[in-house]
Amino acid sequence: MKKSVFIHNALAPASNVVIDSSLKERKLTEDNSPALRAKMNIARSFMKENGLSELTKVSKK
Amino acid sequence: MAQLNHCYPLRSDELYETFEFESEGPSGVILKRIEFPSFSENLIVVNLAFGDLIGDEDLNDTNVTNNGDTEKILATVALAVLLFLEHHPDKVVFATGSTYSRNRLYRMAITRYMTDFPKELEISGYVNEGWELFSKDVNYKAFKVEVKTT
Repeated sequence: MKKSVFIHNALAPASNVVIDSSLKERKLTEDNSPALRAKMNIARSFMKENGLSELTKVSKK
Repeated sequence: MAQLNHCYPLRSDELYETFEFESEGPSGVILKRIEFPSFSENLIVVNLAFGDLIGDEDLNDTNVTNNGDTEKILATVALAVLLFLEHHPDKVVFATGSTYSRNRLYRMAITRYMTDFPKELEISGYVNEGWELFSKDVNYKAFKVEVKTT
């Protein structure tokens, strides 16, 4: 089901966020960043150990 | 509602997927990077990856920089999560710390800022082999934040 979109502007003044197009070129990936790859592997290991294939399922309290 | 206004100015790419900011304090100016990389086997779920940027090339989240601005940094990361989900409402942001203390830090940050989060967001924690809606007094192993389904 389509999700709703919220607006952050009430929380964060627009002046707090500036678009920097150079960030796209400097984006870290698992290919160019060993540290990022390590973080992803930690998360993958956690998911595997805990059988989180259905990650979006939440048991409501 | 004022907590998230006490954050560092953020720089973002046009897609709101990569963020940078500078931590300022007694240890100097430290460049911080926040990324939301997808898991290849699940394109809906992204990982919250955050750390110091070393030489403009890689992350380091093991350093303790002692810049005296932990709360301001956490508020800035929380703002980045909001911005990411605002522009990618079908994604689920997953976060787990590499250590118990890191997960505790995440829990403290969520507890502090969740009242500032829009009501459209749902925050969950993983404990006892299951997800539940976030509760501030539970030691979770992992967290996820997503926009509620309508």
